[in-house]
Amino acid sequence: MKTLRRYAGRGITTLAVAANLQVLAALVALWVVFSAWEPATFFTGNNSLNIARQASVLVVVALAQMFALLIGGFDISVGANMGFSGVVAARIMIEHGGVTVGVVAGLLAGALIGLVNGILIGPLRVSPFAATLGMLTLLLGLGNILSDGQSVGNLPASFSQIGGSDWGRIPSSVALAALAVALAWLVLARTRLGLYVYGVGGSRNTARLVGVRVYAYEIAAYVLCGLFASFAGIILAARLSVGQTESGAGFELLSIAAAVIGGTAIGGGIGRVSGALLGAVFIQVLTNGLDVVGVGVYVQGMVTGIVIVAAGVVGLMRDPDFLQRVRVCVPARGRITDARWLGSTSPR
Amino acid sequence: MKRVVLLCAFALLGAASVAGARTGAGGPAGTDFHAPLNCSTKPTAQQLLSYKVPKAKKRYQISLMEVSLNGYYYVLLAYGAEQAAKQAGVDLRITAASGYTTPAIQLQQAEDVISKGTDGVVFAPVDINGSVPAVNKFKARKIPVVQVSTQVNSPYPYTVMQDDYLMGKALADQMHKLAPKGGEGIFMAGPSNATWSRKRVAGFEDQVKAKYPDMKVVDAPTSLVDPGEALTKLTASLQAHPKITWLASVDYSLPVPQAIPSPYNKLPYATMGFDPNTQKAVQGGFVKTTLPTDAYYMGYLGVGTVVGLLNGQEEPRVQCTPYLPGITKANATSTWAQKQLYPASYKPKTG
Amino acid sequence: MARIDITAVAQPVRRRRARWSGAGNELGLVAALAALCLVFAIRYPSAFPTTSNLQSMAQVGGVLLAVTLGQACALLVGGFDLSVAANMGFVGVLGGDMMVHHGLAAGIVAGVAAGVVIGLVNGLLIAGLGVSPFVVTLGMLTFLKAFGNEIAHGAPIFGFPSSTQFLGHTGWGPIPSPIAIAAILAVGMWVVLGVLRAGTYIYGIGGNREACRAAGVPVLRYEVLAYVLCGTLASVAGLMELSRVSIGYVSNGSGDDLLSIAAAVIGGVAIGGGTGSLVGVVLGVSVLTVLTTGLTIAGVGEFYQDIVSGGVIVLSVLVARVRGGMFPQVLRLRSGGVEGVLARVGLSTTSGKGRR
Repeated sequence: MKTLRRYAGRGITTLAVAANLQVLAALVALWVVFSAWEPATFFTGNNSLNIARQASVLVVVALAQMFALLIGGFDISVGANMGFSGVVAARIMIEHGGVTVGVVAGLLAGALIGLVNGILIGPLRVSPFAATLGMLTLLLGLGNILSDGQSVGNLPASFSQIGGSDWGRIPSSVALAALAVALAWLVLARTRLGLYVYGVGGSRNTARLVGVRVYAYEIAAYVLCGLFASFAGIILAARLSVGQTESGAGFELLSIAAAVIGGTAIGGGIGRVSGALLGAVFIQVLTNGLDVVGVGVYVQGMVTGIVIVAAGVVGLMRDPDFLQRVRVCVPARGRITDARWLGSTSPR
Repeated sequence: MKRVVLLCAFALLGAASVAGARTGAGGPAGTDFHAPLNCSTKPTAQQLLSYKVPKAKKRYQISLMEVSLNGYYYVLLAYGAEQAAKQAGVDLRITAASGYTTPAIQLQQAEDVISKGTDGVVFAPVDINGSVPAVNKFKARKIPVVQVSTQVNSPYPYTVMQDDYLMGKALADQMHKLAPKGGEGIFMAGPSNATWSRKRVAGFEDQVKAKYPDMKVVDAPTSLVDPGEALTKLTASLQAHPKITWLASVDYSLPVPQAIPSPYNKLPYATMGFDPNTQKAVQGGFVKTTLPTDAYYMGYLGVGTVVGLLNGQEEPRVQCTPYLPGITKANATSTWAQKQLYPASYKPKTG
Repeated sequence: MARIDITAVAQPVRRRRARWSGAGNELGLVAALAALCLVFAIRYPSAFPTTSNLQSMAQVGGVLLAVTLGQACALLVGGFDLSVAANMGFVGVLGGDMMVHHGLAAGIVAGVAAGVVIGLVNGLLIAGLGVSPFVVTLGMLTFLKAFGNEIAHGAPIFGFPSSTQFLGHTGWGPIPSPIAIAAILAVGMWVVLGVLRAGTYIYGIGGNREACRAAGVPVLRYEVLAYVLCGTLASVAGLMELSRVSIGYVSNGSGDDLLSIAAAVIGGVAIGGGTGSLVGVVLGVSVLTVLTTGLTIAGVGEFYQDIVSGGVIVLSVLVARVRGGMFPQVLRLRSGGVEGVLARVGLSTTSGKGRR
């Protein structure tokens, strides 16, 4: 129960706040550097709006990924899920008319994918890697067959309202991302479901012993993950005005990176919605900034790789035992060591 | 209870797969792969060799937006564009997405390019439909766009491009010249969702059907633009069709000619595109004919056209670059062939 | 230190775990492989059951086997390595460049050295600092792809000395060179993991890290060793692939990251560590190679092949659970079988759950 209370969304721990502050500080530093470098282009309202627009999809996938991470697993099928849901939504929109029907179908497809993942990983105890890798491969094939290997275009104009065009002065994708953030926060911080997701991710054993139906919450977390991923996929499809199976490629890894940078622990039980939001924005500011200040494509890749690893290291440095561990260079006992093994980290 | 939930979930997924396969068979109303480009001009190789880019009236900011910079084709395109920019006296900035599955990255780069300020864009679309929003962003700001390499589904941009469908047809002609007795052959295709590859395959198959009844495409395996995967697919396909008499592919690296297992490396092999290794392969007899893709001229002519437009000149809407004459052992080091290569020390300046 | 069988200490389990040189539950795999071969042979009698097809499958499978042997080390110690494919492409560029300018030997040395360094960096970050293998190897993947392009300027390397062909293109006598090299690597890995103490420790660490530490095993050293082995084998596979496809290119080997994990998992190597055998790895690679070759011979489209391989990955893990006796326990859960499941899940490594 101690774990439950400690890591529940509403029981703010100093650890999580410190994590957020670190990301925020890094974000501000990055902003200042880029602004000083290219004040005329980076430090403009227009570019800030750009970053917001670009970040919105990543924010929503990062939230999706966060559910899987919190429960102690992860989901590398989110990218394929995005593309697949986008294709399903687009095809239904064209063939059966109606943006609403299409969007609902896309979201249902995403939730269904999450359900299958959840059942495989929960009660059937397939490792998250194998289950979601299989799902990824399967979805790519299925989506490409559904779309005949092409992008599905010629969508109704009103579809751009959910991710493409602006609502008044606010980009719709940003508004939708804000909605997703609010929803995720509500679920994680204000419901029993959220509390148990943290609890199961923090210590599966403890949760089981206090009578939590672990498998049910595991399945629920993956369904939420699938649902949010398909939501991101639909925003992306609206932004691109097409459904394309492989358009989510890359988001699976970026979303994990965003969540981890934002302080979500691989291994479960630790992480906050605000952190995932900051992590996603951080990545987007980095890519936009590198683009705008004119760093070469190849060097951009190298920088991104280093930042991902550095984020992982910094994430561990939040742990008080870290320094001692580096000194001895032997992994210490306890939570963080447990958290090292993806998807199967909870001590039992 | 658990078993019921499980069964339901798998049944649903199975049903979705079957439904997907069913509806997929018809396919969405998509691109017509069997149509040539509507060219306004068709410069010959000679005309291109003597083409000079116009001098810019002032130092314009031009952006070249590439699909990727991982591959000879893309780097050559960048080289052509850089040469043109130098001669025209304009600034060139190059961006690159991460391949044909990343329209999101290209859209983001288009927004960044606009943020940074640009007068004209040479645009290689990542996806025929998925790149439309990026073009629309430029359109809204009245920034001229010249599309190169492959098409985007918008009437706005000017076009400088090789005609993939006609290239496919021309390759069939070349192939029949190399294997006059016809017979069975394998045609290695590119990614099954890439427009350029599907157009080339369509052109090749249409021409074979129309003019060469003695030739038969027994298999057209698809693979990503990955020489290893293509080689694996080819060797597997060869097991099913050991008696083939000719071999063709949509791209010189699918598979790399020198990697074709013996005795099939003795068969006539015709392909498309050119790079230094293919030049060696042509000289060594591994490749009999290759139709160049003129990536250099797509960059060069692309920048030239944008500069012309910015200068206020009339430019042709659709310029189709020549894929003939094909490169064979006889002209493997000709001026025309050398124009399909860039100096070994060249490195694209991106960012 | 006295040599103790830590894996035995660490697993008071009813179910027997697969050891490297021993046999685990491979019978099912053999049956699956035989069934696959039979179906393809009956359906395509002139194309599938031929010497030339066997040779061509050995050519493809040899490269995959080399990577998978490496991947198995990372899996056994309780992690995995997503950077193996990028490693192969990077070595193709770096080693290829050296081969063109300084000869075959220099290329091989440079390539393998690069693999060792990559493995060492991965290992130190994962085992030393405790960063998750996912984050580390993902970062490494991203970095290597870009770095390879930076070196090669985005173009492929070509024009190797003809002696390079013996690494993966031509045969050693009637035996295709990739499978010959892979066989040598397999023997080497059999010695390292099955005979030497390192193997015992790597299995032990993957099975129960804390018990190993308590028993005085230098955990850090052997965990790093596992990643170094993984990086090295991937770089050798990269050299083989370079020779097979005749160019050095950053995207050489692309897809082999997930493919190697899939092959190992199909072969019974547990994600989570501590379980897996050499025979299983060889069988896993064989099943995947036969499956993809057979489907291509059958002319099955790329998209449908994706669906089949996705299904096979999940199915093979599920089948492993059935063999491990998981299902009855799971289904009895509601009627109070919690403790039984706990014991089972807690100590079953196939789910990667029972590391401590």
